[in-house]
Formats: sequence, structure tokens, C-alpha cells
Amino acid sequence: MEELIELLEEIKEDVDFENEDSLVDDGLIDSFDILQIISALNDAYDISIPASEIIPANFNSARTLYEMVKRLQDD
Amino acid sequence: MDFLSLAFVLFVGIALILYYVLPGRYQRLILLLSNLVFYLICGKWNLIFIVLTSATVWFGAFILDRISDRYKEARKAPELSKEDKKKIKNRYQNYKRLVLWTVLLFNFGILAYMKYLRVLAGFKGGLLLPLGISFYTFMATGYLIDIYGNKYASERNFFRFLLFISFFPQLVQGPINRYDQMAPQFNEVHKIDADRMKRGVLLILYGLMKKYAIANMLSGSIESVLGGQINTMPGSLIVFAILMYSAEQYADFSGGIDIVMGVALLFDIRMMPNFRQPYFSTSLGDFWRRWHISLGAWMRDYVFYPFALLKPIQNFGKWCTSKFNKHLGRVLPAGIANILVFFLVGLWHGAAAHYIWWGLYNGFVIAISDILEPFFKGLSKKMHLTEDSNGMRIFRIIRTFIIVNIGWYFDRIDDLGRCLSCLGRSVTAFGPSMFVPSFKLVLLNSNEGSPIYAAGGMCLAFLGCVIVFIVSFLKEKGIDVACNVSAIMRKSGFGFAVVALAMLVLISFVFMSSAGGFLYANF
Repeated sequence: MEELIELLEEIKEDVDFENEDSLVDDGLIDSFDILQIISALNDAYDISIPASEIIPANFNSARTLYEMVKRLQDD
Repeated sequence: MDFLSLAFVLFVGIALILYYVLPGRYQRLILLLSNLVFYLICGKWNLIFIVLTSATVWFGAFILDRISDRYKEARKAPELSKEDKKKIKNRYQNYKRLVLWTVLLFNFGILAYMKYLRVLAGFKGGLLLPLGISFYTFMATGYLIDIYGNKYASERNFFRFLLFISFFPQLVQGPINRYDQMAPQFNEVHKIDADRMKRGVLLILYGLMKKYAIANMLSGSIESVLGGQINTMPGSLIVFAILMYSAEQYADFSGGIDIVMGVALLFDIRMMPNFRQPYFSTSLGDFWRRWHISLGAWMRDYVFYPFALLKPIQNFGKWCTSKFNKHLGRVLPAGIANILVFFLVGLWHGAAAHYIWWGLYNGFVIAISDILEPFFKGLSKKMHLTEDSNGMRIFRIIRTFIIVNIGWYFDRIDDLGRCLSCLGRSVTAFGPSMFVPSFKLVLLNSNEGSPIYAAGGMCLAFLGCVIVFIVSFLKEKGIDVACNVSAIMRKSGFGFAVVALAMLVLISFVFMSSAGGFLYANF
């Protein structure tokens, strides 16, 4: 989880990824950020996040992102 | 069927009575029958096309779900290595891909044939474009892609799926609704509610006012200018015509949407919003998140993201980061995806080159403004401008309005050469002193009718625009005038609002020179 937060902070420095839980709903990350996050997660965790996973429920917080990564790794 | 016709009022009236009077369990059946009757009235061929699309997509989704279930079963086999699991996954993924693409190609093939190939091949006569084909094809394919991505479970009952696809208010001009938002509403039992009915009626009247008192009043005048001898017209008159077009386009499309939203609300069904005060946008990207929202969202979910996530595009982003900088690595791949999206948005509007130019214009402006964002940020810092000040916000709104209006030249004027000369004259031959004489000559003495009718129609449209502006401004401030009936009721203004809106619609008939269907009804 810490590793994932570091990775997110590298993409967008001025967001508190540890505590924010409505990143998409509050407009803290935009479509550019989402694409960057997916690209970084795909490389770091050897997964391939499909477009169908791009829903606010998955991208609203570091925790939900982490859960998505775990789920896709097990898939 | 025209929205403001006795047939439509009777049709909705009968459907509503049956919907609320019969026991709740028949509501879905009443709605489905209403949809089918609506389609039959509009032409029996329509029905064949919509049933064909619904059936193929419903069946495709059913097969996709079956493949997913079989995949889950196969994964349960004991002692599978990671390699085995990957192989199984790829195998089932390939089956799913085959089903998805077969159904998509079949349905987009029908759309392409009916909408483009026949036009390009110059076929005349024969079948008309099936009503709402662009809207329901997108709704159906969106659902299929969602099932492919395991977003939710597929609909097991074909007639329930047909109800979602054929829901009659959405068929004339959208919105492009989503299954997961609509299906739960169709499964509920709906009780009649006076407040909601009033809200629906108010919304319908507001939409009718936009359509009849603004859009229809302006369309003749716009044609007089842009369809006339543009080589002798001052740029100021052309700009005026484009401004009228921006009002007409918004009033026509959003008015139509208000009407269908209102009709759906009478049945207690809430559809996806399609407009959010678009002329208050602060950038062209923002405009497209407020204008035809359901099409933009469809493009984002089913074209933009899947395309931007393709391996070559992702690698291109990484290459840009290493070769140039982080910013370009971030915006260039998305910019290419945006240009593709807007090319398709242009194409979606019809088989005419000017729509594609209009789409590409939007795509390129958005891509370039994203690329230049750091430059503009630096510039405002150097000029000591406060980014979130009211002044900057107003400046941005006006700038975006101008950019959108340049786009309307491409959208409205069919011929690219003519469009470019209109743009040229708007800048090089503005001729403000020529505005009044040419206004009198072209607009007041056109062939359409006597000057008093043209002037009266324009005054009515202006009054309508003022009302729409006030309502939009209040909405932008968070005050929902059109929907917040309880607030209106407290001031006992409901009756007044109904009478005022109805009067505006009725007055519009006095000045009407042509009936005029909806601009978006033929897409």
C-alpha cells in the first residue's frame, strides 16, 4: 500500500493520497492522471487494467486502487 | 410524431392513465407497449431495426456472460500453475472478444449503411433513416461493452432489455442512457405524485418555449444570412447570424431534451442529464462536459479510455516522457485520443464533410490547449493574474464562447469554402457601419414574410433568450428554477409560470414561417 501511495505521489504531487477518499468525485484527478496512474500500476504490478475498470468506485482512493490491483493480480 | 401535436399529447395521456390506473405490476408492460406503438406510428420499418439491434445485443451479452461463467468454472480446477491460469484467461478472453466484435460490427454496420453508405452512394428513396438509430445503437453497444468488461450482470429477460432500448422519450434525440441507471427504475413500481407531475409539465413547457419561441423563430433569419449572398454581406451580419445560430442550436437541442426529460418524469423515470449550462463553460473541454453530456460520456468510456490504454499509445506516452518531458508524456497520447474522439463525434452527426471539420476543429483546439497549458499558466503568473478571480472566470467564459462559435461556422455552413469565406469576412470585412442597412435588407425584407413578422419573431426569441439566460445563471449559482417546484409553489408561481411559458409558445405561432423539426432528430 505504501509503495502504491509513493507511486501516486510521483504522478500528482499536490494530492493527499493517504487520506483522500473521493479523488474522482471531487475532481482531484482528471483523465490525464487516470491514464498515468493506469500506466504506472500496469508496469509496477504486472497487470493490465482495462477501460472497464475506470469507474469512480475504483479510482476514488488509494485503498480502492490497491483493492483493484490485488483483484486483477489474482484474476 | 411532433411533440406539440394532438396525437403526441393523446398518446402520452393514454399511456399515463394506463400506467398509473392499472396495478403496478403492469407498468413495465404498458411502457413497452407504448414504445412499440410509438414506433409503429412513426413507421413500421423502425420497429424491425430496433428489435434487430436489441435482439443481437441482448443475445451477445447473454453469450458473454455464459463465457465469463465458464471461465470462472475452468479457473476452479485444482493445481493450476500461474502459466495455466494465464492460458485459460487468454482463451476465454479471445472467445469474448470474438463475440463482442461480431455483434459490434453487425450493429455499427447497420448504422453505417443506413446513415452513411446510402448517402455517399447517392441512393434516394427506399427506407428512411430509422428513428433514433444513432441513439439506440450507442445505448445498446455501450451495454454490450459493459457486459464484456463485467461491469454488471446481463439482463436475462429480452423484453426488459427491449424496454430499456426502446423507451420512447429518448428515441427522438437522446439522451444516450445507460442500462445500469435505467434498468432499476423500470423494475420499480411507480406511484403518481402531484409535485413530480407539475415538475414534468413545467419542464415540458420550458422545453417547448425554447424550441418554439427561440429556435423556430431564429432559423429563418439564420438561413437568410448564411444561405444568401455572403460575398456582399458585412462580417458583422455573419457574426450576428452565427450568434443567432448558437442560440438556435442550444434552444433546439436542450429544449427538445427538456421536453423528453419532462415526459419521462411524468412516468417517474429520470434519464441521464444532457446539458449543464454549456455557455458558462470556462474551456472547450469544459464545454464538452456540459453539452450533449451523454454523447461525451459515451465517447469517454467506450472510445477515449480504451484507445488511450492501447499498448502502443501507452508506449508512445512513455517515449514522449523520456524524449521530451513529463507534461508532453501526459498530454500527447490523450490529445491523440481526443482528436479521434472528436473525429467520431463529427462523423456521428452525419455523412457530411463539414461535420468532420467541426469535430476535428474541437479535437485539435482541446489537444493544443492541453499542450500549451504550462505556457498559459506561466503567462498569467507573469502578468500577476489571479487564476480563480471572477474577472478571469468571466474572461474564460467569453473566450470559450468565441471558440465554440468559431466551431459553429463549420457545423452550420455545409460547404467548407463558403464556411472559410464567412470566417474570413467576419474578420477582414466586419463593416460595423454596414450592419444596420444590411440587417434591414437581408433580415427584415427577406422572402419569408413581412418585416413586422421577422422583427416580431426576433423580439420574441430575444425575450426567450433572456428567460433562458436568467434560468441558466440561477442554475449555475445552484438554484434550480425549472425543477425546484417546491420553491416555486411556495410563491404560488406554478400557475403563472405555466401560463407565461404557454403564452410564449402560442405567440410563436403568430410569427411562425415554417414548422421545423428538431435539428437533432435526424442523427
